[in-house]
Amino acid sequence: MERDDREIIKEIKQGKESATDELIRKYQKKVYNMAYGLALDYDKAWDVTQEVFIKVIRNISSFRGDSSFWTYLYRIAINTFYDYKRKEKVRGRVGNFSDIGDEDDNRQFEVKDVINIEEDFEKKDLREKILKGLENLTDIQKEVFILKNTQGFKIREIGKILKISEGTVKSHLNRAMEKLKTMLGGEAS
Amino acid sequence: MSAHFTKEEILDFVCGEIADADKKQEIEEHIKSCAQCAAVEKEYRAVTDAANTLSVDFSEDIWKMQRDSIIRRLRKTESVFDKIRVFAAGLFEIKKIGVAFLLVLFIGAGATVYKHNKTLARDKAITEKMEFFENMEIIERLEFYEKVAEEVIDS
Repeated sequence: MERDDREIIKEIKQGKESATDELIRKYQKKVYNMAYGLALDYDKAWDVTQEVFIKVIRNISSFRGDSSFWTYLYRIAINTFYDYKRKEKVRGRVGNFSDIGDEDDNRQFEVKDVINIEEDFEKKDLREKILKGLENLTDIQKEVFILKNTQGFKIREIGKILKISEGTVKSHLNRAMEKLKTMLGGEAS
Repeated sequence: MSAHFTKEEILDFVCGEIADADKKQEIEEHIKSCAQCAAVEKEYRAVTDAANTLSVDFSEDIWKMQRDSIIRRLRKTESVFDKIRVFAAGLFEIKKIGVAFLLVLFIGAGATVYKHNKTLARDKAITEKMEFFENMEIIERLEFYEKVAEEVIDS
């Protein structure tokens, strides 16, 4: 049975490493999928996920428990993604400096090579289309769409994470759905 | 057939955002008989179905590798401040136990002192009473001897 977040966090604050592992295990897949939806790249999503947990654990003492932990985690995940994007832009301008990258993560593989995917042609085609469609969304539209459709959050919860009103969430979701609907084109027909 | 639903309402329906069970059923029934609304629903469903293909998973080994890597990096970058903080947190726990122990000790000592003072007060009262009786006895004896002396003188 999964333990309550507050209980795990209390142990992390006491320096218990097994609790850190437990917290990461609990949210790792969700954060990775969220990062993938935003970055649209397996390797970048991997790096962002690592950064998110490092930030969360390092600053766990500042988590007072006023809001639920997942709200806090997703907020950090979104901010980390944009930080990563900014760093990447700088890297693009100044050259490929390893200090911006993840030099401590010595993974010896390409993330795309180790994914568990068993999909037919139709599914693959659909995935490619939606990925292309996501590229055409604004950042906020993408965030709302991913939080709603891949993380399964309610509009009220998305509003809390992004600190915007429910009406604004609905409006962004609506626009995102309309754009993607057009992009997917013949799929529904 | 009931009136058409708006795109927003159909989107809410597809996204599972309609809490009212009656309204949900109403939309469901309407879509079955209205080709126009059914087409809107189908388009939205196509998008949400496509979104489902975005879910990525790895074998547990790979997830574990990522967790280990995160923990390794956390260990590497743990600052002296963090170590002090964890140590202080541990101390705080010990301090809490210490405070509880001292509290019990303090209450116990207080009770003993109170009991001791009560015994002392009782002993003092007894001693005072005994002294009083002794003094009374001495006075009575003195009076007796005085009386005897007076009688001897008189005789």
